[in-house]
Amino acid sequence: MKTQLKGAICAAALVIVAAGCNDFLKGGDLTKDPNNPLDATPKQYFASVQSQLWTQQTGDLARLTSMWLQQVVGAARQANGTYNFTGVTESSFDGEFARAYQGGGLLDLRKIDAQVTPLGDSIFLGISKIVEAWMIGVDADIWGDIPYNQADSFFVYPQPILDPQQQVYDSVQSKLSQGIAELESGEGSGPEEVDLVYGGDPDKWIALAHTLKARFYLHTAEVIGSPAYANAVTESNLGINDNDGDYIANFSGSQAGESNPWWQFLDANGTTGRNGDIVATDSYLETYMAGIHDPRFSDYFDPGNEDTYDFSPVRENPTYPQPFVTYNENLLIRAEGLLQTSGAGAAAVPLNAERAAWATATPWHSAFTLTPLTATLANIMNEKYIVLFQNIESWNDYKRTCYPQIVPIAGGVNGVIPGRLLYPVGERQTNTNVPAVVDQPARNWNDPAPCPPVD
Amino acid sequence: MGRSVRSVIAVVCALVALPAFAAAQEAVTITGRVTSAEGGAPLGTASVTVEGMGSVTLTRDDGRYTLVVPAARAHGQQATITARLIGYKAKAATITLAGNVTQDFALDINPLRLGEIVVTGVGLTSSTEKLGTAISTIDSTLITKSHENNVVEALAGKTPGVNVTSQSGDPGSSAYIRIRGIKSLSGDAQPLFVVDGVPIDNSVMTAEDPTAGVAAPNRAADINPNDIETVTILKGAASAAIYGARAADGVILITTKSGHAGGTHYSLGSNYSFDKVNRKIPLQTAFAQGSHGVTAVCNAPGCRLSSSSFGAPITDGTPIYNHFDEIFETGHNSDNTLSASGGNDKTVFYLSAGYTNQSGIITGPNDTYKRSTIRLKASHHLFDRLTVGGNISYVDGRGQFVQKGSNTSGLMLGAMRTTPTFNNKYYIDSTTQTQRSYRYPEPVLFDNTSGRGYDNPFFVIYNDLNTAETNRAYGNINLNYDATDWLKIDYTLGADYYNNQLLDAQAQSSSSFAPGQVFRTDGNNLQIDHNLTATASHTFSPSFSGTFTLGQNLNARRFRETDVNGQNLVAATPFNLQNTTAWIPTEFKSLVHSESYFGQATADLFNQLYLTAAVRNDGFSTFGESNPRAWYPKASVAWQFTNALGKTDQKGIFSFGKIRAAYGETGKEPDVYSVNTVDIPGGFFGTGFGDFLNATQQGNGGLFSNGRLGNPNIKPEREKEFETGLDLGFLDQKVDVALTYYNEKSVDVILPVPIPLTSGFGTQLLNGAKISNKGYEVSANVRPITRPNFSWDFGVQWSRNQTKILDLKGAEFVSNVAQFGGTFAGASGAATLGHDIGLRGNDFIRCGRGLSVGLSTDTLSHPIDSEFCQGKGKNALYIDESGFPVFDPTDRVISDPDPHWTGSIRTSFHISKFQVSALVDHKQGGDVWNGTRGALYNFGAHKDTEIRGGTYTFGTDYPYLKGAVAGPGAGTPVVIDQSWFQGDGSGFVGPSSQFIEDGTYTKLREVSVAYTFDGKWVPNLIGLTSIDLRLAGRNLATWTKYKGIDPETNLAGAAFATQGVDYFNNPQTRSIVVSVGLNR
Repeated sequence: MKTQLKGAICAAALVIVAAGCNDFLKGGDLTKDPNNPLDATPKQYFASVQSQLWTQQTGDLARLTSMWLQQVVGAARQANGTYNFTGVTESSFDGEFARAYQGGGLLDLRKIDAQVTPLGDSIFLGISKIVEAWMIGVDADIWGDIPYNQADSFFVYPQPILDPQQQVYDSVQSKLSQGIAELESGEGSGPEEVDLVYGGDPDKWIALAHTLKARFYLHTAEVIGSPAYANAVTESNLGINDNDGDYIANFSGSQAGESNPWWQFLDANGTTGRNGDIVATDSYLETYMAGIHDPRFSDYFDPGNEDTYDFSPVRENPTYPQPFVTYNENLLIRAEGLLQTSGAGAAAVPLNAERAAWATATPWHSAFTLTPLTATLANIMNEKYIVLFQNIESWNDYKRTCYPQIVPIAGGVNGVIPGRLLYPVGERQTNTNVPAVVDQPARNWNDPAPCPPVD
Repeated sequence: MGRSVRSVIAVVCALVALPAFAAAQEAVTITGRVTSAEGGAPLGTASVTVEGMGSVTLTRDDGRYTLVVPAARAHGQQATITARLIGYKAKAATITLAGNVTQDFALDINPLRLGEIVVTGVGLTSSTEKLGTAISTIDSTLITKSHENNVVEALAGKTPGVNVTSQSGDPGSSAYIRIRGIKSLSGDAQPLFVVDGVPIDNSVMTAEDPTAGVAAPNRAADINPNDIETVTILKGAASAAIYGARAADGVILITTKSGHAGGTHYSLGSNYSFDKVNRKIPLQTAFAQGSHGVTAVCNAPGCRLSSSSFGAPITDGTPIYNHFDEIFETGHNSDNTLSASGGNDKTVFYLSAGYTNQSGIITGPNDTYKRSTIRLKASHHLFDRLTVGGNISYVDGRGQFVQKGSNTSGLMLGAMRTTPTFNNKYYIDSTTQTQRSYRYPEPVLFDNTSGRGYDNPFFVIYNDLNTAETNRAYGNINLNYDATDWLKIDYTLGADYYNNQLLDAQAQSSSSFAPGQVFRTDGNNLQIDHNLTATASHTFSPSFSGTFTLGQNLNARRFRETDVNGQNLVAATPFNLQNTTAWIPTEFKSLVHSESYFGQATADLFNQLYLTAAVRNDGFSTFGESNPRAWYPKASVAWQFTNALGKTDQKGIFSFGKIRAAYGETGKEPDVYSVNTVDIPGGFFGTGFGDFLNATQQGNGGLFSNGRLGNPNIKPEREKEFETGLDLGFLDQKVDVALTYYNEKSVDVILPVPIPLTSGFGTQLLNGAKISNKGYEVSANVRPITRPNFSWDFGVQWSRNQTKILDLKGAEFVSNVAQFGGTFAGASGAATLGHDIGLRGNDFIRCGRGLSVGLSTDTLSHPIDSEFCQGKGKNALYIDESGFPVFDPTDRVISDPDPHWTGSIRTSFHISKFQVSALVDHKQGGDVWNGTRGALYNFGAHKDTEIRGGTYTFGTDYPYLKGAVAGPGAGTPVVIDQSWFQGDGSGFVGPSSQFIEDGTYTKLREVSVAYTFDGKWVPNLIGLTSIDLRLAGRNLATWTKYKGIDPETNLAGAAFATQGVDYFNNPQTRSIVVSVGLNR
């Protein structure tokens, strides 16, 4: 009887359903999203990871750092609010904080790891670990204590605890070491052509990993002191040893989404309509480089150019290959490390090697002949400030060394440039381990002392 | 004698009867006039039926009718003839079917519509006095009188509990309807629209983000309002449960006009309107372009000037331009509908053709919307017990629009920011033939590829092109089979298909994309609906009768959309994809099926107690596997207690009383594909400032995990509503009052529960939120004068709804771009616990919030509540040592866009053939974010910024941030200058809370004067039966304290549930409408 009834109903329904009743509510486009893939290959994930990394390095954090460190000026709208510290709230940087964890970050790096491990692709695994350490390290630099050990395991740890910043830095170092070890085994094929920077070259990734290790050792030096500087020197010696090993983003510029995000934001052509929000005009860096008659000035700035608001057309270009980690930085890390452990004489060698390296043009700069400098902390750090134009690392250098000696715009926050950002509201509201705004520290573990006022 | 006497009698009888028999050889023509008993006005469209003969006709607008009973059926017998009209009590008369009969009717009004049949569901009807819920029915007259092209907008102010917000005055813009508060946290929260028993799509499709781009209609606007007979609104779950998992936000049941047997009736209705901007944005005219008092000067071609007007005072004699007025003109809308209807006792038809041609208020040729509709509805008695029917509508909509909103190529954004001394009308540089704007006044030669900062509004109007072309067909075929006297079977197979082609194009040198770009969207939507019902009815005794209905519904919805953004125009035109060099394509398709069964039983007891119980069982392909089906019950009781008191004649001081109570549940299906856990869609990584990197670079395909964790066990949301009320009549029904209270609770509300960002996902879809809506609805109508040739009546209605979000699955608030779209960083849409869906953002530091500040005197943290706020009042503004308020970085609720209450008053006079009517609509409360004002402060373009340079004291005389103050600097005068207006006083930098304004308004929404010519000369001279002339005003006056355009506005229109957003929205209009109706 029941079957008959169902049959009768189905017969009535046949007007619109050719397939028959059992399939009316299930199957095909009804229950499976026909619009999106449900899985991907390691290379496809890696392409995303690379774009996510590049976005982390050239997006809002880089703009924030460059404005707070006065390499550029936030002239209008939200950028002006960031520039003078008024517009920075706990809801300003949710997206930037999340990058390291979400799709294109840890979430997909873990998928790469799971897929390449059974294949024995150590090169891919090694590269994946290096990128993971790098991206997480950036969040630790800015937010201090962050979820890491329990992150990206929602069904096990729905509310990941905050690992102390020192512990995250230890994990970053060990992740980088693991990455190096995987790469040194030489097994597998890695991301190959999808890696638009190194083409999957294991040696270049190993050198990058050592420079990153050196960089992150420096981030602990304000607290740890000499051992950190010594470690930085050791790693720097194994790090990127010529400009050919630079990690520089490779933007085709063929369309907006493949163009340098700095250009996208600044673009005098007004593609994003943000033109004029951030300008180079009369920034501290522009004034400083002009003041010391730095020959590189023309690569950086073009005073009076109303199209580019004083940025040099070399830099403000859809295909400008933004340098993230370079031979130059590696040498300057070594210089700072040696200055702190072995004195000015030893430090002068890498410092002036860095200066000399400018004589050869690279994809990210033209050739300039620079005079040698004495290895003072001021000289090393001011040189690094120039080299790390538009690079988030400038903020870490400043927090540690207080160079360049800049006066915070509009008095900063309580007289200083902030040492960290507030935990994003999206994390605070959902993770009870994140303290309320009022209970958050003003500075991170690695940076206890604010920079003293400049005369 | 016996026999002869009988013979004589027989002969006499025969003789007497002869004329009657003789007359019976001819058809009987019945003529007459139907008028209102109270006022004597002619009543058009009343149906007049000879009972039992299948002869039906409709009166013309002069109230006259003609019915012909065929000779074969008229043999001098007695017959009952009945006149019926919605809003009036039916009246019957007995006539003799012989010769020419004249029968006039004077109908008594029936304000409570007792005895009228209303549609309450698919295949379901009820008589109004038996309804257990407050179901509102709005008839064609009220729809037509509103002179709105969009049927949704025509519902504004007509019934309590139903709030309508029109997006803007743009031709073809959408109207948002909210019934009894927000029930859900996803989708656009629009009710289900059902036309003649078949659901139709009412979504909004745009080619760009709805905060920018151009206005687009909600698709119910494809209906020609002139084709509508009635609109019935099922407001809550108690009445809408029979629609199950699609009825959470209520159901709008539209019944279109049908033909009636009798002569063919022709009618031509023509309207012509004159539309003007109703409210303007005040702009400053005292200061020149520049910064800090220094006027910007262009020294050479190619100069880029300050975006602000904080220059020196404008010197006398310098021409000043009115940047608001110059972009608007008088718009026009011509609307014509020609209809023919009629039929005979077997077949009836209604045929109409409509053409609406709207030219909007924005100057130039690119602000238009044209809608052509044709409609045929017919039915035929195939056999004695079987009727087949069908109706089909075809719609062709074409529009050209102007870019709006948050968009550097938007009309208002560039126009309002322009410095007062810049002549926008000279928008193409005569030397270089390229766009000039106030930020780029002298373009260099051949510069067609650099942005202008903000586009010149005239360039936006004349050089950009935005079009929409919609073709839609919808309708149904139906069979009604009266199987037996007690069993009736109805079958409906309906379909709704449309294809929508959109083009948004920004010309070369557009500031939003300087190389020029096009957005092409092709979308199509197909819905097929099958509905089978069987209704049995039985009268057990005079005091007990009942019905029983069983039904099945199958529904399939298929949606497809293809979008391509073509970038970099090669030649300046044409605006098509092959003329661009890079393409960003997106495709989306979805398919949803549902299979449902429902049943309803009613019982009528003692002619006073009416019980209804119903249940629906839904299976949707969108439900999760573990919850494949859901039940939706309802039950109601209505007791006409005046009948119990023996007052069945509806006379006397207390003439009618009914008490009703109902409970019902509806649902809301999950969004399609919510069951998929993790998609790997790829895409791009952006920062929210326009810069982004694709996952795919240089041809290497990139895919990454979606931030939304789906849920394979998702189930539909559930709305549970209890409703009770009273319907009362007084003074022989001269006064009627209806009161309704409802208490609704939504449970299992689906929300993307925010989970820690460090989980790698942003959200997880869960059934977990709870929302409560409680409210009152009151309406009262009074007819003080009902004399022939002079009547006056008025009505008031009032409603209040309180929405409270009770649970967000542990979260304090949910702020999700996809869900609460149409909003901005700094004033972003969110659902917050204890509140409604509103905007969140920042405020200044205020008392009573446990906040602390630093002082220059020490390095301690000072809690302001204990140190400064004592006796200063709750929420007093903290003023720091410098005399300024202080930005509070805490994200908090800053606006509640839902009104506290809404009400309307309508009245109409009728003096002889004159009719005067008016509708005043009021919305109390309901915040609107005036982002326009905030931005214009930043640019020194707003009239308010003329106070720059003046010295003011917060809390005393600073005019734009009022209220009590506290703190060390309270009372300290400060100079209000550019740094304030571009700092904490700016909409970009400062707290958004200062630009949240009270959106209270009172509107003279409709007013009209009409006259009907139906004197003898009309037919004699021009062969018509009557001519109606009407002069009407729409939104003639709006009273509000809102500082900007009409507060009835929303940037993204009906695309999202988030309302109350004004960011360079295009303004609203007021109109004068002249209309002529010719009837035959």
